[in-house]
Amino acid sequence: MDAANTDKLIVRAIAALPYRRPSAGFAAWVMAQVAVPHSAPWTEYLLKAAGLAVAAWSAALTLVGAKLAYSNLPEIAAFFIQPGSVAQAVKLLTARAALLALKLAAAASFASDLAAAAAGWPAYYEVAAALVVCTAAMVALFKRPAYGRI
Amino acid sequence: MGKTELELLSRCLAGDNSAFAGLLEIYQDRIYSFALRLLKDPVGAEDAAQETFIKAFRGLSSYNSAYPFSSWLFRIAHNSCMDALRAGSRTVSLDDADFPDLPDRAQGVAESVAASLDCERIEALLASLPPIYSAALLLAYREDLGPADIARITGVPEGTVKARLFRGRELIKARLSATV
Repeated sequence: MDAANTDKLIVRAIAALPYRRPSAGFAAWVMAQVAVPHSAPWTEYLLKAAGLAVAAWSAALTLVGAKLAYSNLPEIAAFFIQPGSVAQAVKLLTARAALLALKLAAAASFASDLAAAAAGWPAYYEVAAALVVCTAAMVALFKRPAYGRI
Repeated sequence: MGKTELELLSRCLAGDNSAFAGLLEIYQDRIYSFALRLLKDPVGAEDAAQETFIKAFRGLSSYNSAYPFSSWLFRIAHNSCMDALRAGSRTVSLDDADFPDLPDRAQGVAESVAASLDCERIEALLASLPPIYSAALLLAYREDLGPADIARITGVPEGTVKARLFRGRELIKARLSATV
């Protein structure tokens, strides 16, 4: 008997296989599980907790800031009533910004010194670049097509 | 995809959980039979089938209607079965044992032997194959799915699916001729 004919017989035999039925309670069990509200995975809880923490901190800071502004309202008002107060406020803010920029530069320099101090370690920008490249590679490798997302 | 199936799917997506019972009724025998033939264990097959339907229900929003619903469901079932096989430490690898040497040409099988391939015999032959071959054969010939659909279900290229189908048939032929 030729191979093609045998193939056809095998295909026909597989196609004729009967479907088996699961036990009686199968569908009921699945429907009971479906009816139960699905608990979110731990990552969702973690994200929600982080979001809540950020919201709580923002609310607390706003409250403290508002209280500070309210308690110093007469001084603030008196300051703005004076002639040339706006220019003075601008100068003050510029000075604050310059100070902040200096602090940031010092922090960056300190981080750079720390990275350089670690013997055998690459520079911080090389580590950062490698991290970005690795993350991109991992995302590209493990990203599944929309069809298979389950 | 049938009209009823489409309607049930859209009702499910609209939040009508009871419509899922209809989909369950349509597919439960097919999914359970597929799992049973891969796992060769009724209890394990039922667990895998239940897991398939629950995962499908929870992931319905991610279903892409550009593809058949059946192949999406079979993909989940296939993954569940492979997980169950791995958990049971049964081989789903590409070991030598899974790739027995085949003759260069298909062996001649006596007509009477091939013609007598009844349900019980083909079930036993499929059960004797490594799961990667039996899955491909079942999806292609029992579920009537094309190589592209099977490739999406099993997560391998279309060429690999065709090779698995060929090798699966050759293995069955080799085992049939060995029984003569």
